[in-house]
Amino acid sequence: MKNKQKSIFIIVFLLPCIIMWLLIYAYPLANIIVTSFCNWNYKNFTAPEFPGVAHMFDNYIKLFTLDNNFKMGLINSLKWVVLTLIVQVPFTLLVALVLSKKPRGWRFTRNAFVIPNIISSAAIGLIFMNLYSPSRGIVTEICNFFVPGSNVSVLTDSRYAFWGVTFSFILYGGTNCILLLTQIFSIDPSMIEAAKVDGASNGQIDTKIIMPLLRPMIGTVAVLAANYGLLLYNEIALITRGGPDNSTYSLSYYIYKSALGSTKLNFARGNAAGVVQFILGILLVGALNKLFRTNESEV
Amino acid sequence: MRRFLARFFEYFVMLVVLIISIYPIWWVFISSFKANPGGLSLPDVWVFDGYKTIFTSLNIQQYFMNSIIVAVTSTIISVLIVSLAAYVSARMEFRGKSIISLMFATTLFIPAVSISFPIYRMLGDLGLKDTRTGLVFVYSGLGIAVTYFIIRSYFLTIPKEMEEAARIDGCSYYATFFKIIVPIAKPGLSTAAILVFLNNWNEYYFASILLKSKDKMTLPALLGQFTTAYSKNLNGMFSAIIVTVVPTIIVFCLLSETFVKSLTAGAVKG
Repeated sequence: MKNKQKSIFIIVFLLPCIIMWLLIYAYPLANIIVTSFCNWNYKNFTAPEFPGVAHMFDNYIKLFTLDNNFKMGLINSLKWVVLTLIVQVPFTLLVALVLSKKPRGWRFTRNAFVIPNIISSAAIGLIFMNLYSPSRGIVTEICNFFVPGSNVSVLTDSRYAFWGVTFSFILYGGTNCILLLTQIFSIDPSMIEAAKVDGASNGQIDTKIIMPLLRPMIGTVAVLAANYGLLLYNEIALITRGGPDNSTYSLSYYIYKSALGSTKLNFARGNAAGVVQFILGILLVGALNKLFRTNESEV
Repeated sequence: MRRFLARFFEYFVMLVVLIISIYPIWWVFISSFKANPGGLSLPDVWVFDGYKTIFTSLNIQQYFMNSIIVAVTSTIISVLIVSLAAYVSARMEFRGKSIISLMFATTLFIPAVSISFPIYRMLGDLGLKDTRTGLVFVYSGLGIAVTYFIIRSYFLTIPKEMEEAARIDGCSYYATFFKIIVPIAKPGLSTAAILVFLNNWNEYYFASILLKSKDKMTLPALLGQFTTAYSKNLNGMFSAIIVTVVPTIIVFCLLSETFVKSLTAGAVKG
């Protein structure tokens, strides 16, 4: 009797969350995997058709051989992954190390650094779109100050548009900075005191003591940052809409464009790109965890 | 000398952080008061037309209310259903328990954009496309993994004796949870709630694809409209950005330590 009551209780409490998981994650994931092997576009947009085993990989083959927008999106997304790892993560780490010395104003700086991460990235995108605008922005004005007559137009020039999108997010590691700071503050202060007594400089303490102890957290931060780069969408939708000449497509933006953002309604192709994105994400997390040995602690 | 250089370097880094974090928002703020927004200068004449138009003709209050309704409702639903599941998995022994945690953990690897077409079509089938209810439904499910791990780890810190005492006094499982556990777990639940609320308040992608009618849009979806529709009304656009971001910034300034705790918990558990 009592056990039965308990079983019912367990089921009642688990069920809502499991249903939500099924509807929002499990079913859609299964759906995109299955339909990525189908024909499904504006010609038959109510019912995907399976084209037979011989043609089941057509969507993937087309993505990688014919579809220049997909290639552009894939290459850009991978570039953004690399850039977050070589720019955002080191910059965030540097800021965290500086703030961890608690110079005057460190708390204010830390909070200011978080603000771009907690306001809507749609707002950040719109702000940068305006900053880059030649008529009202300031970037063109600043460039003209250094190179008179250069009249840089970030958003209409495919040489600069990629970097325009990049600078709208690449330095904003505020949340990650908090993670690193929290971890630095949890290091036993006596270790650092001992090093100081032995005559170690601040730089030596940072690189020889703090950074090795910080390694798992740096790994976590790298995963979060790289994932953001891989999934980038909002900034592109607000700043460049993928342009000019589709030069700022990302994987996410490609997926949106393939069906909902176009009249061709190529759901199947978009879902195939979604599967590629999903697999890339898993590979990326796996590789970074291995690289940083995130799950092993130094001490 | 070396000491001085190190100091100088520290303040240089902090200055860079302050400029990149605050200046863009400050620039929009100042520009929103200019007759012709933009440029580096301060306004010659301070005008408030942008704010007047967004409150009168654009009716930004409506979008604000939509955002509040959607974000609050989905946060309550999400934290509620996740805390039920997290409680059972933190406290009870049953078959398949580790599978439940694994199921939720896998969602961390599923990009929202990649699974958006099936969700879009499902809402169409349910008749929930272009409704706030549909958006609440999606937001209630997105991000369950992070919420689950934050809340579960908080439940694990509560001593079991509390419930055992309640059970001996004849409390049912349900009463024990709602009357004993929830009040004790408030700090953990609010940590999770802040994070969920922030994500749902800021969410742009699903809002932009699911909502078509203007009167249902949330603030981020409205901002997306400015890239095309209102680009002539520059004052309005700059003012709308400020009205969207300032509440978040004010709340953050008031509760920064709580926020910092939420952000840390969210990322580490995730």
